[in-house]
Amino acid sequence: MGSESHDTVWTVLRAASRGDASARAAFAQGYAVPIRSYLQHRWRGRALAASVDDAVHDVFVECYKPGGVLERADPERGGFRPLLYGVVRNIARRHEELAARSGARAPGESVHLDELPHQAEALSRTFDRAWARSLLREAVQRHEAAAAAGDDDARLRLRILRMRHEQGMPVRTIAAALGEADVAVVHNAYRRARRDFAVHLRAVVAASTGVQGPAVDDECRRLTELLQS
Amino acid sequence: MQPPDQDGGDPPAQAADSGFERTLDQALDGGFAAARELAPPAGDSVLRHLEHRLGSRPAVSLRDVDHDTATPMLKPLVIGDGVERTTGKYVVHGLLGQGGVGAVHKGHDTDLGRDVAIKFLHARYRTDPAVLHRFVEEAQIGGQLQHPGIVPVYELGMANGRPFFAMKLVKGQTLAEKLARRASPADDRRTFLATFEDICQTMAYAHARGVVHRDLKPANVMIGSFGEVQVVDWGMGKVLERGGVADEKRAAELHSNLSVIETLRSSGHGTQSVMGSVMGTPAYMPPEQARGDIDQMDARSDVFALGAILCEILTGLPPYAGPAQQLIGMAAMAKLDDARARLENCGAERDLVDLTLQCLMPAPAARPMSAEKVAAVIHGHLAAAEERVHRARVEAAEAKVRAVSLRRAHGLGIALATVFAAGLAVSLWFWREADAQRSLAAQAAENEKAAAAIARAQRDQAERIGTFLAETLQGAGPAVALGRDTAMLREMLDAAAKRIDRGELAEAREAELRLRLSIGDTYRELAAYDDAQRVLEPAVALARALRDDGATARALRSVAQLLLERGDLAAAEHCARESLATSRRLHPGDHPDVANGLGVVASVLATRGGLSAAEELFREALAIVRRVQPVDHAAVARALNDLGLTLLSRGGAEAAEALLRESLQTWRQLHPGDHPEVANALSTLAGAQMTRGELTSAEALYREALDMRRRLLPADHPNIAMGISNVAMVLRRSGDLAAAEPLLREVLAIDRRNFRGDHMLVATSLANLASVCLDRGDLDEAEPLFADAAAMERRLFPNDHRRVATALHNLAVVRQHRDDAAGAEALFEEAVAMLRRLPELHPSSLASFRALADLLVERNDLAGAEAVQREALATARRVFAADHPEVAGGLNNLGVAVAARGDFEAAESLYREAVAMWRRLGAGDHAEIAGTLDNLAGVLRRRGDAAAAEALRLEAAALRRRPGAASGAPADGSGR
Repeated sequence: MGSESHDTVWTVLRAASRGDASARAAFAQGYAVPIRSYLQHRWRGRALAASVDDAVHDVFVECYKPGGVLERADPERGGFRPLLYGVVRNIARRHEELAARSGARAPGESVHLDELPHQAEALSRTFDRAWARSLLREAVQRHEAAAAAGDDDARLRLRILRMRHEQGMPVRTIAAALGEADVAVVHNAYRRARRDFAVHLRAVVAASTGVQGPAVDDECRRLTELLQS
Repeated sequence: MQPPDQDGGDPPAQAADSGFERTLDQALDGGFAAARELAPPAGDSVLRHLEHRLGSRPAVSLRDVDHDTATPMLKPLVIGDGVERTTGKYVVHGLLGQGGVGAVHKGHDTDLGRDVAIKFLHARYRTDPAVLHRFVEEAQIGGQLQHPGIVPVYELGMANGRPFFAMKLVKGQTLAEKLARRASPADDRRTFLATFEDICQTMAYAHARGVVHRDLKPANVMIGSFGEVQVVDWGMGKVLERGGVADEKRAAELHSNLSVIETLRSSGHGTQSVMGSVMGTPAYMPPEQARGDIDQMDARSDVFALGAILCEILTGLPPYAGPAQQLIGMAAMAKLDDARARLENCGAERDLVDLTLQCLMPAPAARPMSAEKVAAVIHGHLAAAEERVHRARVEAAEAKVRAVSLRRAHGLGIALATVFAAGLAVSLWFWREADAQRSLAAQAAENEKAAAAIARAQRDQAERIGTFLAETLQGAGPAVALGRDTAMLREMLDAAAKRIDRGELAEAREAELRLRLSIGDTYRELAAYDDAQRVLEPAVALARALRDDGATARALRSVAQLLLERGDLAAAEHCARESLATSRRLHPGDHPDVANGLGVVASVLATRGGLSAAEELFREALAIVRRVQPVDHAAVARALNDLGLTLLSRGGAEAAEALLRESLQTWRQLHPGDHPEVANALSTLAGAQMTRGELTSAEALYREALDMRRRLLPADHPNIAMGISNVAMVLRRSGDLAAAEPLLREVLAIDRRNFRGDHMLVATSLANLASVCLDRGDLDEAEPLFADAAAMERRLFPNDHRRVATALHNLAVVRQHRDDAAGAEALFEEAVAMLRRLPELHPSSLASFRALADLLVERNDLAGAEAVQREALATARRVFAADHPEVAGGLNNLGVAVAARGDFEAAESLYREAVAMWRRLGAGDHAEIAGTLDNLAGVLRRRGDAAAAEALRLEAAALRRRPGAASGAPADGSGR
């Protein structure tokens, strides 16, 4: 995940399952946020919220252990996201069961939230959104790194992109802010900036799903759809 | 930016890409939003940053150890005072106090989780450059002066346009409050002088850094709950090299109409700091400051203030005392007559009065140059005072002795134990501790809890005195032990004990306790039991009175050892158990004192015959010392020795020998050359080897031990007698009676000279000599010696005791030799009956059972003999390890009894079991092996197996022909 050599996530997963320290670090860095987001959402307002850190750790332990999910992951059977989601959910249930046995359950709360259909669905969407955000964030970070290493035009294009999508400024306003009288110039730069970003987005999605070619765009679409869920 | 026609072909969006373009829009929006989530929040709080990144923040919260009730008072945060409840990372709790330019609040640093004091500049001065400048300088001074006596400033910042700085929240009381609580100026003077020295040291540091305080007073000195001194409120501080505040005079003129502002730390007699034409506190103000010659102020102005503080410490009032409105005038004119008169009449030492007067000289040039000079004088005064106190103590406790070395280790009271003695050196070198006492006193004086600290130090000091004495009494090494005279040692001990009895240490009870223990133990080691008891018994009461559990346990242990050696075993056990219980209460886990206590109880139990219980306790003691001491520690060596001897007594010779070898090795590591402990360990190991029948190596070790003792000890030392006796006994076992007897006569003579009257060692020497006489057939010499020994044992042990039973056995043996079977049987019966009444049988007692059984066989009471032999075998199996020569011997003897009534099958079984045990034991050339082989051969022959019988007979004959094979002489049951 996120390596400059654009290894697929499966490559990283395999290396992590074999104990490769850098692969494990990349794995943790890439997936810690969606895992944590899911757990925080699931346990919001509950005593178990204090156990989020432990549970995140347990997810990684579950992934790394011999015969764990990393070893069993098969790209032919689908993307890694649902696999990871299953692990996170199981870890969450394990903590909830433990808490229930120790009497830590707050009155009136169910132990297995997944057993309530709408709750399970909502939790799944939480995970998906966090997942999507983490991938998109990575695409932005790759773009930022490339721009920083590039020329002034590259950095300007990124700035335009940020002004447009982070601050919501219309192109005309951007042009004025930049002191560029010709709005068309800014438009062109903006279009190039979008193409720059698309390259990084496709690379991130391809690495996370293992798909190649036109199917990558479909995955990109599905990823953004997760944001809307 | 490139113009569009030079853009390199940027086609407009195609319809075919419109889906992906929408995706891209969403991705860009989502991506930048997601990236912003992880961006550090504004305000730069590292914890907020961490929380944002990780979802959690570290939260360390340490225990607050400050139990001082004098925490800063808080006034509720007044609405409208302009201070926000949250200032950056600080949460402001309430107002601590108001000053001339600012207000100090209590706050909490949410990042570091600590309470702080936050001083906010008054809102009205926000635009005043001079005041602002001074406020910032105060913060910078506090931030740059790094000294334990100066409150550190953590941060300088702005909050809603108001400057503030955060500093350490000082909890405690001001010196002013403490001085005010005195009933008289003479109270706790030394404590306050020590505090004053700290103030001087702090100011010396500040002066060295070029900073003067200019508002020194007791109200600006905080004393924490641990006695730590801090000089606070550097608001009027001046940096000398830079010329101080930029525009002080103008600032003073601007604010000349301001009213006096009260500070929370100020109290009474015109001690308020004035923010006006004159800055400072009139009651402590040097004349140059009172006159407004601010630019003339330097370190000597602070020296005047130090003198003013010292004046208040000594007389109860600052130099200028009176109505507040008059004070500034008095200060300006340096009206110090009243102060001088008070100082002359305050009863303080001359040097303190002179120092105060010198500091209060109106002319700065006449004062000490800096606070460092004042600190040096105070330090010298305190040191001299402590020296005088200490010298008085030394003279009360001093005793000049010459060093004598004599050391003696303890007898353990079991069959093969030896009485140890070593060189003793006694020196009561209290003057050696003078430096330690002096430093202790100076150290204690610096601490607010000086009384408690001094008491602790005195206890530590007394402990050191006692330890030093005990160590010197134990002997530093062979050189100290050479050629010394116990008579001289007795003289020294007597002199010391007399002085203690006269009450010369009545003022130093803890020192008296430690000395009583050391002297008492030395008396005991010299066998001066009456003197030891006289010195030690009050030690127990004294330790209890001092509520010193550790010393109580030790005193009880010493008394227990004394009673053990005197033979009062019941009382010894009582004291030993109480000592152990006290040690266990004091030290619930592993501790050397617990191990020592276990050892003493075990020794008593072993002497009383409770070997199995003793073994258990010695094992526990060894385990503890192994856990708490280094592997080559003397306590480990002793514990190994104790357990080894016990195992030896119980028949575990092989296991015992391993422990005793390890003990010897440890002692050799601790003492590479000649040393009494090495000699003792050699002797003990030799005893183990003798038990296993390894007489040659045992003799070599005994001789090595004896030679070493002769080099270390006086000729008549009990340990020399012990060594000679050991060599004699191994010679006797080897059959060299001619060599053994003169040695045993020498031993008896030495013991009689050392122990005038009844003593276990004398009784043993009598019995040993009698045994050798009996061995060579001289009944006329042997019988009276055995009779004397028996009579002495009865006097020493009026009730049932193993030693009495042994003495009866010995007399019975003599009766046997005189063919007085009836008389012998009666004595054997009396001995066995006494042994049956004892709670636990000693292994050596089995000889009495066997001897009685033999007699019963002789008068054809075969059933009676068989019953006694069965009882003896069962006892041997209980007392000893599974395979043991005594058990093998018991099997053999029962076989004889069973064969005597014709049950040869049962006899053969018993003999075969005995032979197998002998072979497993590999006990060397033990005569009893040959005897059992012969017995088995006899039974086999009766049953018709002549060939097997012949083979066994030949084997027995070969064993008997081997050199060193024991003759099979009856055991006398005695031993040292």
